[in-house]
Amino acid sequence: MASLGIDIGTQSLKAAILDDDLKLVATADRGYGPTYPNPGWAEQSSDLWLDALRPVIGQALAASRLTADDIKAVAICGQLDGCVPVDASGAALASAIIWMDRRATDEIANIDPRLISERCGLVLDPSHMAAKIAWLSRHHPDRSRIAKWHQPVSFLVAALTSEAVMSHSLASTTMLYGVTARGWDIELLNAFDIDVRELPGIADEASIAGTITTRGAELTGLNPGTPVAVGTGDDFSNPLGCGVCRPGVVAVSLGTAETVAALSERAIVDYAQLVETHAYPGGLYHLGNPGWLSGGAIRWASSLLSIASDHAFSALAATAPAGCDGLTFIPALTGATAPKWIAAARGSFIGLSTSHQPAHLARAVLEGTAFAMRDVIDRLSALGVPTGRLRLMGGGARSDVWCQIRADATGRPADVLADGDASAIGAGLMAAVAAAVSRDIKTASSAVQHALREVAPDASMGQTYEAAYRLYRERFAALEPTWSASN
Amino acid sequence: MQFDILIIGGGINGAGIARDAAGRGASVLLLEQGDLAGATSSASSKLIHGGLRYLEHYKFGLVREALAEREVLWRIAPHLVSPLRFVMPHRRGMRPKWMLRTGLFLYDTLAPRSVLEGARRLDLRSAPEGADLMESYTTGFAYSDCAVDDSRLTVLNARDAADRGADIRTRSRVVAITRHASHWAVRYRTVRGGEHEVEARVLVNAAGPWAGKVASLALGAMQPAIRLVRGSHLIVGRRLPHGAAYTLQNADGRIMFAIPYGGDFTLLGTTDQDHPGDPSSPAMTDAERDYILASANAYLREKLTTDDIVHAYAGVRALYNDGASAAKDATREYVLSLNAAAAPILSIYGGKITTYRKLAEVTMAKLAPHLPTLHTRNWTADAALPGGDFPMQGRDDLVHSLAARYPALEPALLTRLAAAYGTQTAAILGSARTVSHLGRHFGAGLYEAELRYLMDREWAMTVDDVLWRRSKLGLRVSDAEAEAISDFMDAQSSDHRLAAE
Repeated sequence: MASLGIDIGTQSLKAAILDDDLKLVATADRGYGPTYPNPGWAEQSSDLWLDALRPVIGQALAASRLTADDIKAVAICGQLDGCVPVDASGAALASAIIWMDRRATDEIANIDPRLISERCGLVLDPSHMAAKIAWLSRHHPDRSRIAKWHQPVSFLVAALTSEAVMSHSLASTTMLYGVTARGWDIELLNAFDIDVRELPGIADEASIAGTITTRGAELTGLNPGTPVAVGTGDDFSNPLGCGVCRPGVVAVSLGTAETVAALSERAIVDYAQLVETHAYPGGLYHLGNPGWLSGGAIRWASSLLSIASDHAFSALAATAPAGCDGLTFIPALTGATAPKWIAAARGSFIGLSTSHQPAHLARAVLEGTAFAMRDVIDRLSALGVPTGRLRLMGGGARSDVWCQIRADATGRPADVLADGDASAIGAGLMAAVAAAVSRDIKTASSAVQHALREVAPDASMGQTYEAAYRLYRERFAALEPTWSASN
Repeated sequence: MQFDILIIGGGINGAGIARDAAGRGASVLLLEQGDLAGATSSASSKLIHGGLRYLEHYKFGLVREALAEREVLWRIAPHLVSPLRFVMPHRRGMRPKWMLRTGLFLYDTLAPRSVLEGARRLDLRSAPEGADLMESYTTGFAYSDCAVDDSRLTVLNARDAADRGADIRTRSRVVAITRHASHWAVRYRTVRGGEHEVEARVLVNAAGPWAGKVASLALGAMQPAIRLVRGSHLIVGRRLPHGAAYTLQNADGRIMFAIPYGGDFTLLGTTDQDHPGDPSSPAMTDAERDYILASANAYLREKLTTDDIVHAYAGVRALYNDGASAAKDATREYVLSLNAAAAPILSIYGGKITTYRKLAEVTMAKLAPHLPTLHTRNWTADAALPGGDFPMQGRDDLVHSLAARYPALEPALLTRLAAAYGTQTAAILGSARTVSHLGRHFGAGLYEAELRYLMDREWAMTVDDVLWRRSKLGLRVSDAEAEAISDFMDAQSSDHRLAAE
């Protein structure tokens, strides 16, 4: 017997099958992509997801030598911040407006950012679902036929089960969910002029949303009656799949962008808005910074310095001393999100001298991005969020130098997990809980075996990094007025 | 399972150590025989202060540490800690003015940098703070300190420890302790009579007045030098209208505080009486009562009588016996006694609310060699306690935003909740649109929603846990109301038991 997890990515739909010991037995995926109808717009047809289901699931079952009869439950996770309007029968009335779409700027112009911050723990932004609902309400040619608003995950759950339900964690990304009250917030609904009856109900991630209908069986090749869990967004299923399920671990995802987050037993809202708060599977809260260009900054610096690979970049950086002889890199190539959110901020190398070599520049990029991580960790800690060890995940975690810098610059031990994309596995864990293979989310997530490499902080480097970090903060503060002046 | 650290005692020291240790990655079990802050930690003067009076004893180190700590605690618990202005009237024959002025000057300069107002001289004939005093007091000195909700500070340290993975068990009395070469086996009895045995690598004895007893259980007949001193307080039903506290010098050289309390009351205390007997349920004597009233009446224009008393409490401090002759001179500095002859035990004697967090850090530093896998970085000074994730001077802003969110609820209720729960108030009130959404009203603004939160999240098991330690609503509810709360809690916990079975 087995559990099936589905991940609706932006570039592909993935399936992962876990056996009853929660070991990964097979994966499969099928690619597709978004469309960009206008500048700043990004859409994806929900048919791409529906069409991918049957072949991807079939392929994963074949690879694991299982049949549909062996699947005890399914869970769906995937891209956040999308919006799919559907009619009373559940059919999509437009392409999904996906997470990277920024068209709904007028819709948030009159919303009080403090309301969003205090109630939702989010920073007011046109990418979130509420803004997209408001935009579609104004611009959809067939407004009166729209019966429900879905995110991609809840859309797919509804397609398989005919039940309209969204998890707390999914709902907490919409700007309509009161994160301390754990429910749709009437004032937020009023602010965006949204009728609560047009939103899915809210339930726990690993609870059963419904069972597969005849239509669901046709779409998936699974048996009618198979339970489907409520699911969640990939920002939450991915760390869950990486074993992040209890307070006390700082989850750092080193992709093109870098995200830093930790879990809390209680809903904490950052009044300084450096971190956002979401509900997280298992009744927890996820506090994190949505990230800055980090792996992307390395790629940028690589091309600037004509370095062929990430490996070569790290090797070069390793030849420069810690602290880079006074050179600081501010990792704000696309705006700063740490130690403050300043959209107009831009990156800098500061403190250049004739003695600095390409290796110093390379190392400064690795250090500057690590310092931004420390900004977020210090803030999380000040808010009372438990922050112990680092868990470094994603492609960037393959760089030993970068991982060591992170341990040294924070004085914290790090567990390195270089495979990063565990969203479908996280979905599989929710399916396993829904199928009662596992007792609860925490048990399931901690049961997954990971090949972790431990990096201990080098105490002798502490003072060097402390001084370099102070310099980074002073230089950031000194640059701040120049950014607002150019605004 | 074997715990890294087993802490005996759920007072401020035990809870503070549990929090610190859990945040360093230790597996922690805390056993408390009664309720959290059930004894000494709920019977303090409720001040976080630099210990002005220690200046006279030339304990500059203690004063400096306490002054810096005042700011740290305010930052991590801005809901529980409030700045308070103190006025010290001067009278001929008391500590000379120059001594006061130099003392207060030192008090300001020993503090690192403060957002608190500095000390200055007051003309009590014109200042509003002089209106309650007898006309013979013409000059005074004003300085700043902080007030704190002592028992909630204890509970929130325990809550934070639990949120970081610690196991907190109240109503669990230790009955036997067995020492092994590399671990401890501890038997404890729960309130329902069940006995359990647990193991731990390190034992921390934070039992306060019972520390001697625990040390004897663990180490045999070795009796530590411990001195029990009783401090009693009175709460009177009168307000100091200007909102400042008085620091009153007694004829016997002791200092007495009169502190605005709970909006409508004034807290008077304390005494220092040797307490040779049983530390359980200490009581204020009539002599102590008369002494406190007489001390206050030596200053107040309108005299207090026993009719003004609405509540009295006494606590027993366990002080390390340094041989000082008078109780008031016994040291307030804590003593940590580590015995690592076999499995390590660390016993704590003394300490005070103001320095509990530092005490926990020192404790962890002493234990570090025995628990090498724990983080050695000190962290508790920079991390908010539950509900304390808002700026130091942001409590009014918090109340305003709660009022905007809950327009149907009384401002007085929101103000009380904000000062007790901080940002966690919203977790109690949820999406309540009207007061009826908070459930049954038990009197004095205590609703079912808060009561359930206290039972679910703060280990409240009896009516006194709620009325005297999680809140001070005991000053305001009637006996009948208290009984209704008690009945409700009994019904709830038997529901829990049925569900568990």
